[in-house]
Amino acid sequence: MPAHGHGLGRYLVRRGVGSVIVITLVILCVSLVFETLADPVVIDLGPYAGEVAYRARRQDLGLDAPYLDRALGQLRSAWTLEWGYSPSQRRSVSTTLMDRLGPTLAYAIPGFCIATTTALGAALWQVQHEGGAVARCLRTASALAVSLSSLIVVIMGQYLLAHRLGWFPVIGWPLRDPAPHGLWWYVALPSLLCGFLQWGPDCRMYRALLVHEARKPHLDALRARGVGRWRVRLHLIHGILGPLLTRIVQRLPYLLVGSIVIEQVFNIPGLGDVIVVAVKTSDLALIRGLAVALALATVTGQLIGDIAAGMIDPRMRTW
Amino acid sequence: MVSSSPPGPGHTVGRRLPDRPTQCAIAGLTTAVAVATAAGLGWIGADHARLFTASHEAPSVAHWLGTDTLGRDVASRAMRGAQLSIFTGVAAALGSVAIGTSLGVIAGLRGGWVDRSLITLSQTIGAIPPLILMLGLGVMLHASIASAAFAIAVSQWVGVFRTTRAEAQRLAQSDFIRAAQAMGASPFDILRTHVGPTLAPLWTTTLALHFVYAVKAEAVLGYLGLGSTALPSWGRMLGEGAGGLGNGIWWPVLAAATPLAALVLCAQHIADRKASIGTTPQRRAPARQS
Repeated sequence: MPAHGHGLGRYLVRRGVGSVIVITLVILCVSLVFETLADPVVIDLGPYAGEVAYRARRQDLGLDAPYLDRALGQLRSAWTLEWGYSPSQRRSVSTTLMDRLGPTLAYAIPGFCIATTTALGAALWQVQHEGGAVARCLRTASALAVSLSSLIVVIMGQYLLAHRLGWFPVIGWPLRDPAPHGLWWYVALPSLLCGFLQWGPDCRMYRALLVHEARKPHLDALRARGVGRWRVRLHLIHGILGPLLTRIVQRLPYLLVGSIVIEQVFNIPGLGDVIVVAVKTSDLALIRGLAVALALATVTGQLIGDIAAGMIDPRMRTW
Repeated sequence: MVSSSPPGPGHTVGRRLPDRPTQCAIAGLTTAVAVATAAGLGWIGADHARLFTASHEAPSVAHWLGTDTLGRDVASRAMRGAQLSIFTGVAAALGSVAIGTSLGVIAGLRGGWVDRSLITLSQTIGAIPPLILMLGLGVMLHASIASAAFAIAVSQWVGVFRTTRAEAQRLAQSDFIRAAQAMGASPFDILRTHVGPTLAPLWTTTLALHFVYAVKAEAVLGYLGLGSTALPSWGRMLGEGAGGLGNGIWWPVLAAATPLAALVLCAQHIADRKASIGTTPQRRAPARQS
């Protein structure tokens, strides 16, 4: 349909321009927070550093250049995906990000898949067997999972399942390559815990969507006509596919960050771990690279999610 | 006598008491606030930094939650941790709701370029991973209670802004707001008389949810060593105690994990109750045979 195609084209142009503006503002925000609110050199060297050392460090970090030049340089580096050299990692920011991405995705993707499938199944069960004992248990479990701090879940999970029962290794990444027991053996427990942390909020959201959808009269009509349970179930899932897909796609960028707590507790050399190192050492290049790369992923994820949801469910179409 | 069943015909409906779990949650929160206040006033937990002779001493009459690695009384530290968690949680929740609400109301009621500018601002903040923003602000503004609360509030106001803006836009089109405008009511009067009371339930629910998030976030900041160092933090206690679990030293983790879990659970339950009161439609038969 030509009108539909033109609408989508205009929408893409509009969103593209908006994304460029947002990324530019992100870069300026990061430089405002990390260069203007506090002096990174003072944080790095301490308040009692000498004048010579202070000036030399400012020059090293490129902070002696005028603000406008620095801002333009940062914009250029963001669009070329080259953020310079990371002092804390002793190599380029791009290489660091690419190297650290693997360990994070190794546990975050399985965790995400576990959380999404089990949360959807549990939510479906709760809606279909509302008032039943299992449904009530699942509802209580999801409320508890939302309420628990990730710190408690991860620390206690590691203690019980790895230290006490010995079902999993205590560390989440092999210390030498190749891994003696295979990589999956190490990332199994971090994946399960990562999935559990996401399961609570996912389950509650999917249940809310399904409860809302199950009240629609067309499903009552299907049941009255004697349509099979599985077909009604498919209609139910089809009804929530738009918001479901939006949530799934919008969560994808967060997979890149993973869980800082899991990486710290299980000693996984991922991106979450490198964020803490970058902030603690005031590694400006690395912080800027992380923020802009993750902002790019977020903006792209949101755009893909909105388009996919609009294509599946015309009610969610904004073009 | 507390009853959660609906009153029968002819029964005078007053202000119903909350159900038993909600009463427990309110009692739990009240206790936590009382402990935090008493700790803040120095009535309890005053010797949280005092170094006793024995480290890793098991729970006893003298130290009823034992001592930690440096020989400090774990019970005192846990009580002072309540002060840090509750202050940070309340301040961060109030901050994020205040920022999100005021900007959301302005954007929703004013519309035009003001709305577009504020949406761009919210998208910008929303595109920066909250963790980076929170950790960065927490470190750059020096580790303190106020900087942690500020960092959490700045990274969390976007959700409140979006919800409030949508509600404000809906209100701006409603007849009673138009009638008030036609009668010459000032924007401040409309805000005070109509918009504020209408959005108040939304704000209280959001406040409770953000309190939960802020308490959890403060614990993570403490665990990473990026929170306030002036007071003991449950997150830092968990981090310090986790290493001892394997050696049978369980009391520092128990002393930090139990109040943290209980506080978050109570606040989450109250937030859920407030949200369900605001959104529950009329009861109908459950969906069967789907």
